[in-house]
Amino acid sequence: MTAPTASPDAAARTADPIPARAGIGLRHQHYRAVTEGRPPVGWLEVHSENYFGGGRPLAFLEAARAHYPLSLHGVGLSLGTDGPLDRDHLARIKALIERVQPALVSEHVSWSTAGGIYLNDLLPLPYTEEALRVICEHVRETQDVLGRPILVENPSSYLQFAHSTIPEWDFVAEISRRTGCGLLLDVNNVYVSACNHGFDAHGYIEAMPREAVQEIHLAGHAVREIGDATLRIDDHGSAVCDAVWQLYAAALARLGPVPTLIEWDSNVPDLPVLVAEATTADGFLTKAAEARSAVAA
Amino acid sequence: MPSLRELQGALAGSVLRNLDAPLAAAVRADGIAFDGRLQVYRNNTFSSLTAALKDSFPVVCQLVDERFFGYAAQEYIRADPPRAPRLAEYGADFADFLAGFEPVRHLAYLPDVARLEWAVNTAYHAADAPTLDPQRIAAVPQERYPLLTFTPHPPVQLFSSEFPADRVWQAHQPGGNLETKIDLSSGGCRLLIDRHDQDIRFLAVDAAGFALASALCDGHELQEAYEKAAAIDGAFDLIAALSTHLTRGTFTDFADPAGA
Repeated sequence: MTAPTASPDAAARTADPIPARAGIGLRHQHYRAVTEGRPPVGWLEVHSENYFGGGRPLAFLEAARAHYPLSLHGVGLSLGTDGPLDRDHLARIKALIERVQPALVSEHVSWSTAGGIYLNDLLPLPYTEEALRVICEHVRETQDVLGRPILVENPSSYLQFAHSTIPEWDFVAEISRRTGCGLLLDVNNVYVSACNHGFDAHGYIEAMPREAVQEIHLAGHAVREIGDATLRIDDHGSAVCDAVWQLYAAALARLGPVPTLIEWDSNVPDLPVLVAEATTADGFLTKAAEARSAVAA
Repeated sequence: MPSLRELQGALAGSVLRNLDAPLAAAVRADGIAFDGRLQVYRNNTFSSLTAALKDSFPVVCQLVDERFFGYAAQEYIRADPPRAPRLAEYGADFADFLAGFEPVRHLAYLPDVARLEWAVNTAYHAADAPTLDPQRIAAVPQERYPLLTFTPHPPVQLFSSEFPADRVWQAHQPGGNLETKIDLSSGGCRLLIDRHDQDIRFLAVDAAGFALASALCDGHELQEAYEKAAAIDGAFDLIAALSTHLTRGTFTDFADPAGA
């Protein structure tokens, strides 16, 4: 399989900026409903890896791209792996960027590959100086190859490493400070990890460098009882819960309106359900914009 | 304190093979036992990779039923985990795995159905490319035809089986007829699989036609490819076969050494 080559009209198309509105993740179940129905959402995001080939997926993405600004969200680059970055994978991301001209390109503060084996999950890093050095090198290399800054997303996690020395919020903020990358603040991940590990979710958001946060993710999560304890699991399989909406409102109060994505990847609902979640997020964004202009006035 | 590399190797071992000892000491114990935490990661890896295999092998999944497929997938994931972070590329060896998997040894046709599904999957995800304009071949003087070589259109796949794998596959597509019994000893199939307007197509070809298409897709000169076909069928109609390939868009380009 080879990466797509730039289509002739790609150069003519500008990377329309992502508005400070709600967008939705484009999933294959909704290809036709989105390209033909054109729901009133501000922008779309896709997982880059699903569009490295040609045929139907790429044709639908291009059809959708004709009507919406786009964000490419990678799940496979494994920025946190100690070892060389996958140059072949990076080249495919670059070719896709040239083809569909996304406004934002993002990856994760996590790792997925060890010893050449890809585990298809976003695995937690130990928060140490060593891991910080590794991920920053990889973010820099990615930005150099792509010729543009990327965003990195804070993870959700179900364990903590005993030898971590840096709080996660400082680790994430430091990546942005050292590499100039932007941040994708996943509010659901903050909530999930805060509950799982007993830290203060609001304090985490306060610690984010304001100007670096260029995108927010919202999603539903599952709650699993393990013995007497509870573990929250980020499965993107349900509606955003009330506590996460409240945390989102707090994040917007601090950051102002930021482009916000509704992620719903498992038990994918009908498109109107997804669009209704986006409309709810738009309500929060409008309030945040009004509050901002009231302060300015 | 483990290095990052040691830690990542240990976590991968724990997720894939339940090798917990190297990792357990590195995980903070608070409230939930180590195994309960690792189980979340194991479940994420195995359930998402199983879902990816199910997407690529939906007919195999129907043939063996979903629960057994889940078991086979789990064994396959342990034996041959993904080597690249692209799920569309995962499962290239699943047919070989099934061929050696004791619980399905009695289903001799199953690995071939898996191979067919992999060929379809490969065609579906292949890169876009223009097809060769037949006028370009028409413009080549006929005496130069023997030395022409062709580049296959990226989605093109050639598939053959001693079983009617194509009929099994068709019957298990949405809207397929599962009522008709397929006699597995009723003969095999030879297919050229391609993609046209984003749809996957099968072209059934005979042994000689298969030999020609295989040789051309492997880069052999037209003369050599024809000889392979003619060795099977002395009356092989090369012009008709070539015309079919050019009309269908089997090739994306050609090379004419004499014309270069």
